[in-house]
Amino acid sequence: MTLHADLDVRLGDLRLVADITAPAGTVTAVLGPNGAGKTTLARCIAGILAIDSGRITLDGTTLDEPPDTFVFPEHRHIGVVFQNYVLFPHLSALDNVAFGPRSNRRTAREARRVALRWLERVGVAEQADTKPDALSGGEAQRVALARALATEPSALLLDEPLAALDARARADVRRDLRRHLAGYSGATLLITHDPVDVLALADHVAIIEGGRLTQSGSVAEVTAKPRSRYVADLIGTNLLRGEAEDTVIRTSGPVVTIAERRRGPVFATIAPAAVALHRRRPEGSPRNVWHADVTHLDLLGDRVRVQLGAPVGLVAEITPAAAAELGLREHDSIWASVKATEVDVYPQ
Amino acid sequence: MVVLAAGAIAVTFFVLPLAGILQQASWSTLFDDVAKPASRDALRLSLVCSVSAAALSVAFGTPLAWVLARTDVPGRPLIRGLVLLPMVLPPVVGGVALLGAFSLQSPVGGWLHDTFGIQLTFSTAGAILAETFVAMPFLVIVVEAALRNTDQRYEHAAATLGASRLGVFRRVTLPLVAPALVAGTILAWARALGEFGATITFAGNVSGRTRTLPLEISLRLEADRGAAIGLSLVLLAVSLAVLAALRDRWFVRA
Repeated sequence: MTLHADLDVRLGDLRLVADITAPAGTVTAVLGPNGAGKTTLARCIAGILAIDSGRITLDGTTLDEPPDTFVFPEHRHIGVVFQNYVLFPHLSALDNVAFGPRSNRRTAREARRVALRWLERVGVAEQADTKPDALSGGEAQRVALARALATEPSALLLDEPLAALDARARADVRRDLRRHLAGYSGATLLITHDPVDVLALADHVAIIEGGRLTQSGSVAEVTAKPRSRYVADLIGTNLLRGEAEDTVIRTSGPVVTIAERRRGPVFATIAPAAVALHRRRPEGSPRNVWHADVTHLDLLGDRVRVQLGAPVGLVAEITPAAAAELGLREHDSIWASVKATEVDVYPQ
Repeated sequence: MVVLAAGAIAVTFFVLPLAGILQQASWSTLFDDVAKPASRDALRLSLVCSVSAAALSVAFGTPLAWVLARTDVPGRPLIRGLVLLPMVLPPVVGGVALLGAFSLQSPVGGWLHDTFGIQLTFSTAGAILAETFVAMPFLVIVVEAALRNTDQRYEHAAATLGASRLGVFRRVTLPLVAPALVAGTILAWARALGEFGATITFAGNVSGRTRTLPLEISLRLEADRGAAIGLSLVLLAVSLAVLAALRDRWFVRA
């Protein structure tokens, strides 16, 4: 029951080109900034929006392949949890969940029995008779999930399922969502702009930026080898892109010395904690030493994040004690060093 | 000051006729006036025609409102303009237009008569047609606006749950616009109930068949003023009831 979407679609100013595969029994996250085309992707897969070219298949069945094939949403067997849930305001929680089974030729009585079972499973059975506007955010999310699963869909599409919740409810609902997704055998596509959702819920991740798929793979792969500034910022690392020759990478910013021989276009990541700061030019072992201005200081828990100005442009992370010892202030001039062995290099 | 004075004059202008009709009413004979056979015929006919016109407006106007709000058929602005025309068209002109379309001499009217034996002019069916012509736009405009203001994602959600097009419309769209549908129906019905110009021009003034309340009132004004005023009071009461029924919709927030 693998879901596969290879599509090209234009909607207003946005053109989305993406090729995404979500294997059965796994959760594939689609992560990207707002306006990147994530919801457009969801609408195409759900059948609310027709693609311009390409092919969407579910379990080998073609759902959309212009110009010949277009399966309407009511025949796709894809359960959708919409952004802000979109529960029917005129129906109780129970009838919202019973809506799907009722539409699939079940009797009203049977549909309500199925619905009640699902409400029990997601833990909101006591709210069965409540109308959506009287549900809390967490309850509404659970009802929406139950509504989508009650049709026993072949694939599940979650569009920002936690974005509408406050921080406290989000953690609880995320934990429960993880449990329900683990028990679901179809393919799940999770659309989110929150990297925490990806880390907590997903096996694979596809990054969409500006309508383009910029990176995909297992969560471990993508976080280990980010291929865009957006991903690097999310995981809080420094990403450089440049041309390697021997043990030197020429980037648009600093020239970086690395520990191994490379050739051609490469990415290089430097963990902020690997960037050491000094008042005086350091002597000895570090191969990379740059002079830079401190443009910004941020206290993050027990770490201080130091943003260095162009052209170096790196972020360093040091302890508050080290920052105090250096007497670090914004606009100070400072020396930064990185050991060649701390630069992680991989081809573009 | 000038604005306040003008406003006061306007209010007086609306209140005076109301007071006039109440003042002219002979309350003691009111029941007898309204219960006269001619009055009762007109009342009954008005009820039949206006309810039929409202029902026809709902049956055909709701799908039309849906088409205008949810599809992009070519020439939608033009269609909308044509549908709303009867709201601004002098009713007499509407009646003349209906004569042109459905009289026995017209192609459609002639065909209806020759094929089905239906004659619209000077018949109750004609009165209903004339009332529907002027009433349906009210329903269309209210329901279309409500459909436009309804988040389409509810309909999308219903479709992803396996509901057919008709199922989505019946189980989601209709309940969501139900308040607007009720309001539009009441408006259309009230408009049909008061219809005079198009009816008398197209359907004529035939006792028991096309002589609805407004026509009866107009006819009696000379000969039997008491009855005319009694019947006017009935219509006034209905109008007030309509205002009361729609007050939540229009008068609370203002």
